[in-house]
Amino acid sequence: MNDEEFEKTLRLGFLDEADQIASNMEQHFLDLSEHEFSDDLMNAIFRCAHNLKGSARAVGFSDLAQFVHEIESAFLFFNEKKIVLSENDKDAFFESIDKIKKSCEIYRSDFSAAFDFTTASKRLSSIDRKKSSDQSNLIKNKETTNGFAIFEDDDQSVLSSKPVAQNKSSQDNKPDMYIRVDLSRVEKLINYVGELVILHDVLREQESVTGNQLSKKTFSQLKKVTKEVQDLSMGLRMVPIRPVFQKMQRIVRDIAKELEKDVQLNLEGSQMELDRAVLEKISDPLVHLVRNAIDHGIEKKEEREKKNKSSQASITLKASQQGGKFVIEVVDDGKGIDHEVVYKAAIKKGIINQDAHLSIEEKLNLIFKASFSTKDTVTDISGRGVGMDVVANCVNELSGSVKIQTKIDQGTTIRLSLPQSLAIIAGMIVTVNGSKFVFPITQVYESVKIDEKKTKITSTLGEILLLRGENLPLYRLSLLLNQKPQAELKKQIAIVVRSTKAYCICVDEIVGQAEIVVKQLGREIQNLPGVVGSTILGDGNPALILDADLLIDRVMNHANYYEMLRKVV
Amino acid sequence: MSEITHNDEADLRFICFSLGEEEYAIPLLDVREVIAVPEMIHVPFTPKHFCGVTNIRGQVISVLDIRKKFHMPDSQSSEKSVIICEFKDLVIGVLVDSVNAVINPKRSEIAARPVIESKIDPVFITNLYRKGDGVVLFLDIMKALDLDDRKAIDNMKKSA
Repeated sequence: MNDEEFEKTLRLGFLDEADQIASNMEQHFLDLSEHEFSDDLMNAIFRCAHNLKGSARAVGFSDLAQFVHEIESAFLFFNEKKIVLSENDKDAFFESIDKIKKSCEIYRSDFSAAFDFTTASKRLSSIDRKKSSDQSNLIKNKETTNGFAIFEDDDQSVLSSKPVAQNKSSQDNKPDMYIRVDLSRVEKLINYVGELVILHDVLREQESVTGNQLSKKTFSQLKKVTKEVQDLSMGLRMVPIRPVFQKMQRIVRDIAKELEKDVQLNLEGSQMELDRAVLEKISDPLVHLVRNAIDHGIEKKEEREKKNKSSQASITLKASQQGGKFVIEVVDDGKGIDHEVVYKAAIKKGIINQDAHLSIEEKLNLIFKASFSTKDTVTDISGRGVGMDVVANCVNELSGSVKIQTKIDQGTTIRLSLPQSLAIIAGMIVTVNGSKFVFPITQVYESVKIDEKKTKITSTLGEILLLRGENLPLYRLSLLLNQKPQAELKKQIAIVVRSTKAYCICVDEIVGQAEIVVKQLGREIQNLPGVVGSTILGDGNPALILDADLLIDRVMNHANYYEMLRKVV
Repeated sequence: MSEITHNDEADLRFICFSLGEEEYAIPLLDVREVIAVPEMIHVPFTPKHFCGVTNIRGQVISVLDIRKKFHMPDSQSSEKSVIICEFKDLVIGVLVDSVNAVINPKRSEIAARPVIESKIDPVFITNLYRKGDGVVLFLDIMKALDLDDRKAIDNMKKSA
């Protein structure tokens, strides 16, 4: 590695670290009480700032180092005097932390970037000056300037004057227990482990033919170890949801302040782990949900008091694991959503027909429709509406589900049910014309044997299956995949899908269900219609993972399917 | 690449394979391995020369029939092989008749592509090399794919 590369690595490493430190600092500020001075937290913040300053200087980001130094100085004032920070003071620090984060982002693409932190610095210095004049008149300005002078010149003195801080560091420096690993290396490892598992299955077959007692014993040990290795390596992709939840604290604080509402955010289950890829995707929708809960769900103070509710509203973010699913709930104690109001607004907007008969649940779900979120409706209705389609889309993309529970004047719970991992999903393996395909199990509502007497072919609607008094469109998987058609429907199985619409897909056979490892297809065959990925089955052969909704969407705008169907029947 | 641009002699190694009567070569450094024809799973919505996907040590890899791609007649050859090529962001298997040898020509022995009649759109051919009585055509597999396969699939998506 030459010097230039070395420096680059060093700087990138610093930027990662800086992000982490800035987030920690933010968290500590959020944790600070308005009423009581906390030595521990204040010292922790001070340490963060001090570390950041030192590292920034070491890698040559002097603008940033100088700015952090100013933050440190402003902060030191509070720490020295044991003054409790007001919300307003905190705001100034939050703004500074945002500035740090922003500049790190810019540094990432341009190491030589220069920054002007003057406005932020002014804001910082204004708070301590104001504070100092509020304090006892005895030693105000003189003392503070002296204080600054000492630490400005000699950083070491700060450390030595704070022995407590150093003793505590073993507790607070948890990030040191981790190592950063390139995601591609983890993925490679998971690939090889997958191969190991397949080889293991092959060995088991061979062993049952030729094996003796001795090899049987070794084999059963190997099996245990292989399983352990597989579980561990899969676990490497899992990260706690905590950082996303913590981000919400800040958002709640800012929005509540802006809307002049008093909101307490509670977090439950922030230690729960889920796939990094899922976490990344779910972050923005959660922001939408929280924002909506404060904006539309939670009432103003006076209104809450009239309703005999506590004047401080609460929003709870809950993460939990339920039956192999990762569940995130956003619970508020606001005014709830009136499904009739939603329904009427949707009719007015032309989203649904005037004489559409919908269940309460269906009416509530209208808030997830894209065109529902217009300004007009938001002011008209008591419910939510902004950006909810983003939530619905994201959940669909992850093949999860979303559910609303609401009671007027008691509050609303929005429940996102997500796969814990994108790397492993539960799949239903089916065959058609001898090839195997996999549907995510989340898409399969049920599977039924097709009774020929109960299918009808119409020239306008295609095939229809009568299932317990319900008429469902029936599509043949062979035709959906442009293959030669399945000949007869006699012994076929229909997979019933109930997503935004209900329909059946006819397959030859259901092989079984399995936990499958999802593998991306190469870019030469990415974006095939209805194909969302591939996997390797227990027999060692690849199989394609299909998305029922995407396959059907394709047919909907495509006359070809019906032409092909007509040729068969 | 319209001509060989490698400047290191070690990079001037090519793996030769036959397609029918003709002999072709690709840079050895692009080749990850050569395997016997594996079991392949057909992929819907793909063009004719797309044989399918296969499992190579846990990785799902597409295999393409270069002969069908070039509209050459089916061969009777039984000893077919798949060359697994690894490019920057793409790993792909290429079905060929037989893998013959690794050659290490001198730079002076490599000639530019002349304007001649060929069964293949000559833009895939980067150079040629005289080997005894015969001639070896240097093939740019990436170029072949970029020009044709991706387009074919994109078109399919449009019509789908």
